[in-house]
Amino acid sequence: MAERDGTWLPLGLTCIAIGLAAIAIATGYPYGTITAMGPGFLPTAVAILLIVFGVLVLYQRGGDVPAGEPGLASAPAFSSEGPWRAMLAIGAAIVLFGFTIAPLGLPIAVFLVVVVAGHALPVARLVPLLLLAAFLALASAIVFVTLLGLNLRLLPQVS
Amino acid sequence: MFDLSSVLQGLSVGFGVAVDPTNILFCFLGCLVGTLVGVLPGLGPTATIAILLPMTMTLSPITGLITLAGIYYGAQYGGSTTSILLRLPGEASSVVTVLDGHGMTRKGRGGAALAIAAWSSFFAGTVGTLFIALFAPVLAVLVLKFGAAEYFMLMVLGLVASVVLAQGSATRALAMVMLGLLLGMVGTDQNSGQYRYTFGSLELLNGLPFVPLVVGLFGIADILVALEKARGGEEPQQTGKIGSLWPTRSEAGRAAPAAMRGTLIGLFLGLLPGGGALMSSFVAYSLEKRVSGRTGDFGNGDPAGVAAPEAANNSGAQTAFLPLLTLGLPSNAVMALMTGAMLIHGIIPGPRVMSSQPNLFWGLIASMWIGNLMLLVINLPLVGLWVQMLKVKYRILYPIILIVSLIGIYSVDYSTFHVFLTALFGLMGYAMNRWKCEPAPLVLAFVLGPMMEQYFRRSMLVSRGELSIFVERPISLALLVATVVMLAGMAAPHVRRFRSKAFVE
Repeated sequence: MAERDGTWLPLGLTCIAIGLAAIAIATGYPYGTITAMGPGFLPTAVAILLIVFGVLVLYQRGGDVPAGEPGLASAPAFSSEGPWRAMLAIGAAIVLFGFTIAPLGLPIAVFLVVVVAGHALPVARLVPLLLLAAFLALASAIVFVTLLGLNLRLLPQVS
Repeated sequence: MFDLSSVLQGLSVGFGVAVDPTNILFCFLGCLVGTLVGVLPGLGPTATIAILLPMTMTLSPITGLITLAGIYYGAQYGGSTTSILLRLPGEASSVVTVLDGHGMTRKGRGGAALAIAAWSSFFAGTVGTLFIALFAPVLAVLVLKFGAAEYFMLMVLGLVASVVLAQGSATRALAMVMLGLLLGMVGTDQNSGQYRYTFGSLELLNGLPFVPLVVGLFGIADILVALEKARGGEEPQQTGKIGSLWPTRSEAGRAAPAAMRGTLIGLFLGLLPGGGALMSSFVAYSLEKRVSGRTGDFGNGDPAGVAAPEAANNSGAQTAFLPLLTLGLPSNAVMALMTGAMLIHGIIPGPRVMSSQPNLFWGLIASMWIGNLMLLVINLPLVGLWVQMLKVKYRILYPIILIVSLIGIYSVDYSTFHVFLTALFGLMGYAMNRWKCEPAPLVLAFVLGPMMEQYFRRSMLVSRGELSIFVERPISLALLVATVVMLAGMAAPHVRRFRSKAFVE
């Protein structure tokens, strides 16, 4: 027998929390009247509906999705290792790109992104990853800057 | 009802635009890149378009949209290729193609299955293009009579229908709609100039940027989901033999009528919001099964089982453009991306596009047909090359996808803030996937939300605050009734059971 869906609790609570926060922030905006609505009127209305559906998710207790069926992309359930490795590596790689692209230029930023993102899967040997990173750094500079003409820096900014 | 001469005139204008060398080139590149990315595991058409969307921003509006449309067809085509050869449906709408498509591959007739899929898609695409050319002008005239109240109800209906007709839990989808509406409200309120949900950030004054949202929700989230699967151990893909690309006479004989029936089904189901292509391929397949009775060899490689769903999902994919181009109503996630692209180019999709920008309107329609033709003449012979792509390990693939996404996002506005937002939305998209919430309703609501708010506020102004305006105007009332019927239908137990049965199969 398949395991019963357990995602309804965090999902419902999150919806309710976001809804409450949205209402709280919207109290700072004028409501206006129904004829001449202020900027706070509809955000509050939509947030209330979000809370309603959040409550409904809680009420259905997972009965709204087939029991035990993995997520829409049929991914496996949280394993012991957890999804944290991939989330951390990919998230850190993206943020790193944001910080390095302007000052260090495209090739170095790409190199760093690939090295960090490569750790989303366990890395057995570092050398192939470094080679891939170097290759992609070069290739992206050629494709995006030389061929497509994007206005991106190639070398680090010298202050 | 039809003004044939103006349709022909429009089409000739359109082909004039579409055969412009630049447009042909980008249509070709779009198809090529779309196929390339669409073939890759874990990337369906929506993610493909989301990732490549920023790359089209520097082009002129018409060239950009033609490229995107090319990517769309290419990605769909790539999806069916992997279902036929590898049992790997690239997206939900080619799930049923797997059954008989891979069946034919097991018999050594994979090449023929690919050819049948491509020819059926081409036929369906041609009919779909004609259908749009004929009906778009009629609908656009009808819609010009719409006031604010009708537009508001139309969008409500569109959102609700996309939720009800799509896969998954409707409650969760509705919650995602509300979340999308809220996200759409971020920024400066158009009427009062009040900043809403900007948290003091100057970058958010113009609202949440569209590209980081969709690249995060579709592209980055897809990478995370695929990584989680990849960790379980990568097994090398076993490709079946492709064999001859020419169907035998008897295969063609079974496929042709099936393709025609599939096309018809797709034409009409594709118009419905939400999962149009998915529903049409499913319905087309079950119809073929019923029509052929015992004579068919369903599930083991019946050509009809390839032709019908592929034709249906392609004509459905075409007619999905109709509500967008005439009503300004995107009916699925891909159309929401097209809407976003149009808005970024400063075009407001809707009935006025046709009269104010005939070049763009007819050019897009004509390029749909050209895109379909290109898939047939260019991609089919290249199928062996595409399959080679699958041998590339995900370990090498995902850094490339990530880099292309990031450079794309950054190059739209040269804003690092957009890069950070992408990380945020990527994690959010991943959480949504875990919690079985589809991103499509959220994106639809995000795109429609600002327009809905304007229409709602304008209706209330016109009616002096009487909600009864939505009931008193006949068109609005009809749309309201349709919405209520849909919602009520969701709650009815036998409909729920039918839905779950339909989508499980």
